[in-house]
Amino acid sequence: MGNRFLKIGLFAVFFTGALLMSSCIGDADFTGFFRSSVRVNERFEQSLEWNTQHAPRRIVCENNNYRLFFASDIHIGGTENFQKILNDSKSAETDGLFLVGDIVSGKEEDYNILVESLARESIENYFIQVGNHELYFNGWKWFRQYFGTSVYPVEIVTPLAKDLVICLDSGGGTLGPLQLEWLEELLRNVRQNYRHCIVLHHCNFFQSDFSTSATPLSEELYELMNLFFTYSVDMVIMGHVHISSEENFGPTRYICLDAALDGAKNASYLRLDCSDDHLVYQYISL
Amino acid sequence: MLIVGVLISLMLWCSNSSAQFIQHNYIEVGKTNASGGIYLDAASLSAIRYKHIHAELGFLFPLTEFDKFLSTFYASAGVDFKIKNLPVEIHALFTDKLVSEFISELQFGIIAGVKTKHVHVFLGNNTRLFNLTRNAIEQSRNDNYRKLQIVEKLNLMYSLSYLVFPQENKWNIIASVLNYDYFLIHQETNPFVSVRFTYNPRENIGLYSEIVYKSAGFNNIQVNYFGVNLLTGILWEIDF
Repeated sequence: MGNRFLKIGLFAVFFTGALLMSSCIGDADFTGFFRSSVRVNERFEQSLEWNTQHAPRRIVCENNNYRLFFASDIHIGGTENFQKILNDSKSAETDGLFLVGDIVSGKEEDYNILVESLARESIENYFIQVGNHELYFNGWKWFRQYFGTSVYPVEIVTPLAKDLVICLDSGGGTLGPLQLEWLEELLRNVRQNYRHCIVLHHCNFFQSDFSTSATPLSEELYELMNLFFTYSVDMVIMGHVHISSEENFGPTRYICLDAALDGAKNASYLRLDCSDDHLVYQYISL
Repeated sequence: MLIVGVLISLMLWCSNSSAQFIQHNYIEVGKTNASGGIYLDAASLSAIRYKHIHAELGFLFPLTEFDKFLSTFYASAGVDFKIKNLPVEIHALFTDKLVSEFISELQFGIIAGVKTKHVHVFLGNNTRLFNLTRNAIEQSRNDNYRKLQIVEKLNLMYSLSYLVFPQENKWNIIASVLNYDYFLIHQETNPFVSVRFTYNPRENIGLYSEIVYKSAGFNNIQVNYFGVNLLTGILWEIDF
């Protein structure tokens, strides 16, 4: 009797846990619990192939100060907050808009809304990153069709200095061995050529509060933290967990963004200003 | 050091009484997305059990030159008792891992569980602290470091195992879903699965082999392969 009670109890705990953990139920593709439609190594190789066929991404600034926007977890369908971000980006004359993953649900219609919104507002200096939602519903097919690559460096050139932003594909919860090796080589070979270095990684590294959002496995986390320390990465900007938090560790500031999702509590994006060699940022409420 | 001292004292004290000493050694070979190739580790754990108290110390030795897993120390101490014939075990644990030349990780945890004939369930909580090593601080003395530590206060630890045969059987197959082992505790959102085959050629000697499969992106991310490791080990029980 005791055993039966225990078994029923355990089943209830784990079943309830699994349900609770499905934090984005409306836009979730539950096949993702068991398989990945396109694996991270394959996406990485396709991204590098695209990169070799296109010019390196570059933001050229006329003066030494520049402004960047970072937004995460917009989850289009809804576009109210996204439209505000686009409007702010235009009115503030930002030099770059970085979309740090989970911008769409992965469905084709949501990709269409995203692309149409960017085109309608004539936003050209945008840089989009893969989050887990971009990959749902075989969404990589659409991401690749519209944006080409999920792994790429962006060079920011001012009259006095050059800075580097590295966009990573962490939509599958791991960078995979190839992307990790690429990142290490990139930092080893070129980091010293840049004043500031910012890395964008959709999945949050640390759990500042109880969360059901998947994070990198400890082995990968160790490797990334060590790389970021070794090569003095200034900032790592993340999303995924929908709640902003900050951790400082050695030379690196780890920033997790709030969701910019319509109706989200504390919805915000990050405005980053580089002035007088310093990176200064603030959250802008939506 | 305090924890080590307390545990060694406890072990010495127990060794003078009618205690049971358990030596556990294993080797582990594996490959993950982050290991940069195949890695090989050896581990040695010494445990002492006296009546309902037990304590354990262990070290993980990396045998390959990849600078990913340098060394880890493990210590735990606990008690077991019964609640209405249900065997319950509680232990506190501590790990100290040198992640790299620059970063170390401390973990403190407490975990409790029950063991029935066929099912073992453990639940607990741990706190993780990432620290900059002295080497990192000294090498970078001129830099303006903003903080030397990251703390993750609350992380769920869990282990659910199913034993095909009762525990006392000469051989067994144990399937588990868990997020920790002796030397590595993952965040609660990263479970892994293992299957262990055990064989006891003598009453006081246990042999086992285990395969562990790790995936990344469980739950709300598309599941991707992360890594596999194989362990083989021996447990030797000595009664004083």
